[in-house]
Amino acid sequence: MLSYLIICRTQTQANRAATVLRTIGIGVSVLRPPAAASANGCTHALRVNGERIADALTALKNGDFDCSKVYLYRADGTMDAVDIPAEHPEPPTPTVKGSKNNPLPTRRR
Amino acid sequence: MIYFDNAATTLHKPPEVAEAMRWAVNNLGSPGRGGHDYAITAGEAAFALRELASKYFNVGSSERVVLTSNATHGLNMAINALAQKGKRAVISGYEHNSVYRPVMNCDMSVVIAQGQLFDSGDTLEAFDAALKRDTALCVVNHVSNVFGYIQPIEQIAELCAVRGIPLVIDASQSAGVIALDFTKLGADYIAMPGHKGLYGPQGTGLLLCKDGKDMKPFLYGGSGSNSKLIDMPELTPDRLEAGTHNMPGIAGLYEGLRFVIGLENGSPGRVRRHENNLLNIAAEGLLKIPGVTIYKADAETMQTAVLSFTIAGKDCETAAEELNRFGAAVRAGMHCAPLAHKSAGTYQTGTIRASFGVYNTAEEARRFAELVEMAAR
Repeated sequence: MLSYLIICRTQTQANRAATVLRTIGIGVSVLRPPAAASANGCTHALRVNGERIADALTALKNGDFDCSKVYLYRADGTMDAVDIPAEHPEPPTPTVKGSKNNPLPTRRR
Repeated sequence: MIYFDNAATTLHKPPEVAEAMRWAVNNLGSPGRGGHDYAITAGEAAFALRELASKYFNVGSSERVVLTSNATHGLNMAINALAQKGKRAVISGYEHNSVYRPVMNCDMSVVIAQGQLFDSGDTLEAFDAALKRDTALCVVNHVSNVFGYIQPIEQIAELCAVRGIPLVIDASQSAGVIALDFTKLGADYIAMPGHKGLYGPQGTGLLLCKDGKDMKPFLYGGSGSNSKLIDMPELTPDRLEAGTHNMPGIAGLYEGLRFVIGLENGSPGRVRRHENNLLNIAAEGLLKIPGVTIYKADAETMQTAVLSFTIAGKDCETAAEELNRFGAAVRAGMHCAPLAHKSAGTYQTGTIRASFGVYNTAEEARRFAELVEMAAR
C-alpha cells in the first residue's frame, strides 16, 4: 500500500497536525521518517494513506501548518520527494486491517 | 497535621497524579528520541499536556506551551530571552528571588516600581512612572507569595502594550487560582510552576510564549529535532526544551491540571472562593490574639489565600517551629522574597505565612488560630 510522509518541523507540530487530520476523519500516524527525509537530521512525520493525501494537505494548509516536505513512501521503504500531489498516482489498494502484507509496524497500545 | 504551606507547594494532590506518574515511569520513553512506540506515546503524553494548557490558558497554540522544570526555570528563560545589556528593566516591589536574582544579574539597569501593599492604584502609578522609553523588559509578580497581594497585571499589561515594552508575568501563585487568559492579557511570557495551584508534582512547570520563533535559548542541548543544526531548532517548544523531559512529572501535571479544570467547570472561581473563606476564618481567629499582626487586604479582590502575620516579641522561625510541634505546617522568614518584605516593612522580622489550598478545611482554619494562640503565649 502506498502512503505519503508529510514532514513536520517538530514533534509537537506533528502531533498537532495529526489531531487536525483525525478530527476530519483522516487516519494518520506520527512517526520518525527515514533519515534522508530531513536535511537537518531528526524530525517527525505524518504517515497518511495515499487516497487521502490531497484532503490532508488541504486541511493542513488551511490550518496554517508549515510542514516542510512531502514524500511518496513505498512498501519497500524507499521514498521520493514530491511536489504537493493533487491526487494519488496509483489505483488505491484495498485497506485490510491487520494485513500481513503491511510493511509498516502497527503501534502497540 | 494541618498543612498550610500551599504557597510553597501543594502537598496533597488528587490520586490520579500519582497514578499517572507511576504508569509513566514504566511506560513512557523519551519523546522525540526514537520512533518506537514508547517514544511516540511519550510525545503524545507531552502533547496532551500542551494542548490542555493551551486551551485552559487561551494560548492559541500548543507549540507555544513550553514545558519547564518549575517557574524559576521559565522565568529565567523569559528574562534571558528579553534582557538587553545596559537597558532598563522594571519589576514590582513584590518579586520573588526567581525574578529579582536573574534580573539583577543580567547587566540591566533595574528599576523597582514600588507600590504600597494592597494598593493597586499606587502600584499602577509607580509602573506608569517607571516604564519609560528605554525599558527593554518588565517583569511582574501576579500575586505576592508573601502577602497574597494581587497586583493589577491587566492594567500593567496595557501600559506595556501601549509603550511597546515586553512583559513577563510570574503566575506562580495565581495559576489555577485566578483565571488567566494569555491572549487577552497580551504578555510576552507567563511562567508558572506545576506543583502549586495546578496540583502537579514538583519538577514541573509551564512557560506560555507569545512568539514561537527565534527566541534566545536558555539551555543548549539535544532537542530530538534538527539535530544537525549547531543552533537550537528555530521553533518552540523545541527551541526552549533542551534535554530529556521529566515524563512522569508531565504525566502527573496533566492530571493535576485536569483536576483544577474539573473543579472550576460549571463553577468558575470555586477554588478561590473556598480558599479565601479559609483565609477569612483564620484571619478572624488570629485578630483576637494579643500581639498578633496580620497582613490582610480590606477587599477580597486584592488578596488570594496567603496570610502573613507576626507575633510581637517572638521570632518568626521559632514560632513556626512551635506550630510544627503543635501540628501546623507553615513557612517563616523571608520566603525567598526579601524585596517583598522590604516593600511591606517586614524585612527585619520576616513573617509567618499560612497559605491555603483546596484540600484544607474550615475546621483546620479555626484550629490553626488556636495553635497560634498557644505559640503566642
